[in-house]
Amino acid sequence: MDLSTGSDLVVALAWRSAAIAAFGAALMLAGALIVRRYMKYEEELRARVVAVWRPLLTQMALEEGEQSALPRLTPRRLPFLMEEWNALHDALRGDASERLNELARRMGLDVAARHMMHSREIRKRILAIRTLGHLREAAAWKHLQEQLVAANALVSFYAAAALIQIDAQRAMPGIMSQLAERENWPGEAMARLLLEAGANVAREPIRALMLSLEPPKIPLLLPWLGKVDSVLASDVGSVLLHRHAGHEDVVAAALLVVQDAALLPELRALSRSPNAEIRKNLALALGRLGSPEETELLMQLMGDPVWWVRYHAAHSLIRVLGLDDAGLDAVRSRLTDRFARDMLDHVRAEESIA
Amino acid sequence: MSVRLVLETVQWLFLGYFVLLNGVYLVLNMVALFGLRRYMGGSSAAERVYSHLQMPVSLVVPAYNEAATIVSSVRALLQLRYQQFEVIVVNDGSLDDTLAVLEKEFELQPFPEAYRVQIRTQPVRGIYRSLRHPNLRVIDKENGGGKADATNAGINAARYPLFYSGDADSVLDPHSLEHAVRPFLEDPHTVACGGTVRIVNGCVVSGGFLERVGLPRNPLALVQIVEYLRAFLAGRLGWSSINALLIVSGAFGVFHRETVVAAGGFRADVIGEDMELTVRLHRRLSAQRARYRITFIPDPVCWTDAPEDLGTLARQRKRWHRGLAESLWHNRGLCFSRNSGAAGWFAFPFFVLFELLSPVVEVGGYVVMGLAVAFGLLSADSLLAFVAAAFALGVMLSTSALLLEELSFRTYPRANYLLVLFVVAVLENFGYRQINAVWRLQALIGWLMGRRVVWGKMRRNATWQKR
Repeated sequence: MDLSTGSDLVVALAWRSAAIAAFGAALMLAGALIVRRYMKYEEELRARVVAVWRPLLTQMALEEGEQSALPRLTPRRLPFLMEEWNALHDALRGDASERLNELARRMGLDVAARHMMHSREIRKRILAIRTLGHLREAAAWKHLQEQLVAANALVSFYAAAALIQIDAQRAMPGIMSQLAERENWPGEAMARLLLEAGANVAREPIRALMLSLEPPKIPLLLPWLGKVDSVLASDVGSVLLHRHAGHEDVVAAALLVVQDAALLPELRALSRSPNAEIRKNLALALGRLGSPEETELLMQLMGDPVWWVRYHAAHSLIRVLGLDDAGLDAVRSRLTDRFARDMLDHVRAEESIA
Repeated sequence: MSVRLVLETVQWLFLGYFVLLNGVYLVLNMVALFGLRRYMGGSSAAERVYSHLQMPVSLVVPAYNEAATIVSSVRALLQLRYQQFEVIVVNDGSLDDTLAVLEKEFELQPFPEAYRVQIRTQPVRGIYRSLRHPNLRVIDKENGGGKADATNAGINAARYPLFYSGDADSVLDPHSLEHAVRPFLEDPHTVACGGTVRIVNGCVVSGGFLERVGLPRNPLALVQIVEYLRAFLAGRLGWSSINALLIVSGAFGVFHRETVVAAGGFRADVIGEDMELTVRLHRRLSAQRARYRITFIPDPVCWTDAPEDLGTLARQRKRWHRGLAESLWHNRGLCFSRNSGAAGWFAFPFFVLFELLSPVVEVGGYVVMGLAVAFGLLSADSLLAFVAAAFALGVMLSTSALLLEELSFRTYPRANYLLVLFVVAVLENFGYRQINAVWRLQALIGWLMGRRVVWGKMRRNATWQKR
């Protein structure tokens, strides 16, 4: 082709672009077909591993006595077996889980998991970490600590779980430091994990952590603590309520967890807070801790400009008064605010349907 | 300036534009590939951790003259596998029996709700609650303002921190909410999440859920499968990886309620309210220097009915392009603004140059080159070279989307489906792409001239619905 002019050059480039793109497309189609074939092979392999190993693992986990010879295990089948082993482990406790661990060591899963923990594939890394946790593999402690600080929240979460399985007491300082620093851990799941480690192991470190946190971090952690250990959360919340009285977010979070009715006299003053979150959580707290004495305050909160404050105040009012229809009609007739009356009607209708 | 020089310049521009356009999309594909691998890698582990941690969601479903389908749509929503959710159907002043069939089927009764107006909408006539399903409410409002206004009324009534916005006639995956809420749990700064929308034509749907995936016989629906794969798996996932996603589809989106309320809800005076809201959220939040994330999950969470006739398709595409123009125009402040990040510095200008103006370049290129060949200023060989380059680049892009699909969800069960879709990716270049470009150009001209948009009648075949 003559490339003496700019026009010729651009035409030549167009042909070359077309050829390269066509070749790229063909390559990608071939890639897609190969991927499909490969995935099908993997699925078949997984099915074969499950068919052979699931009954075997179950039998060996549940039955005491001499362990029989094991089928041959190729490196390609190992991750599938590891998945099966972990799934079974999640469902078992006690002697059965000990027998599974013995079996895993016989098969070399401990060594394989230690290698796999450095895989670039997150799925494999997590699988290895779970395996080492179930095996309570103390030799992997250092590597698991490295994974604990990994940027990926799931890798880090599973590393924390594995460390707790191996030695909960020893794992606490590292986990507490991560709890204080990270924002991407699933808080509630982590709280469950910590409390499953044993109340005497986790409660004091959690209390110490919560009391040492900077105010911005507290509202992130206090609510999930309330969901899993309401007594501890209430203790901590009462202390934080006084210590950080000037931090509105901390006060709002503490109101969600406090269980001590003795706090009511000082809580009542919060009804004048300019922060709607505080007023809303106060309405909830009054319903949880209060008595009919709180009626006037709750009626006042039912006239709040914020919908959610009115809503929770109305629910709390019904909760503390527990009145029948006639009683609630009497309360309604005393409400001068139209929005408060509307909200009382709304909540009554809601309760009657429930 | 000689004619030859002008022609040469046009040729260079034409080629450069196509290479650049497809080059950027290829880079996005690569970004999407890494994002997809990361997502798929942690997927099952994440499900184990997050399965019992689910933020409650309000499902807002606007309905206008949907008497024939609304019951099955709501039944399917009520069966979604999710711990805590409420369904809010907004009857947008339907002229048919939409409200009556809902009342009868779900035992609705008037409810004295203390309805709060956080976003202004057309007046609400009444609120109903189901005696059979405590988590189902129906808002009956006056018509006006379209889907945006109806959704806003639903947002006003929503109780939960997240809300889902979608179409009443979409088919949702039973696990769709679990998938879509995960980004909000992983990153508390997430304000919106879109999901992959697929074409339901050719599939079998029973009881509101997808029973079997298949390919449609209608060629227009087939082409749209390739288009959707390209747009969602490659495009949106790529943009999302750099927090520059400018559209959360109206067919499936989960939003942080308070953020949307603070932004004023959906705009009722635009055609593409879904994209407009997404771009506006970027503009507002970046201007406030807020830490935020608008994200996308590649899971096929929603299946939608694709038009099977040219008239309906043309109207849909014109609306989409008009919506794109309006969204970008109303939020032009995002472009190159100081804190706008990849959304303002990369995605916005890209959308203006390579999406909004692409029909001008594409149709203009074909016309100029065609005329040049007709007047003997350009050889047929040259024209062929440009057309071949444009086609081949397009095919490569579509094929890369097929590859991404194979690497992730492999939704289409047979290998020959893949080959059919590849053939479609080639054939779409012969007529379909060009006519699409013409429709989009018409929409752009209409918008520039301030013409009103007429929705027209949407013909839905819904042959996929198992009877």
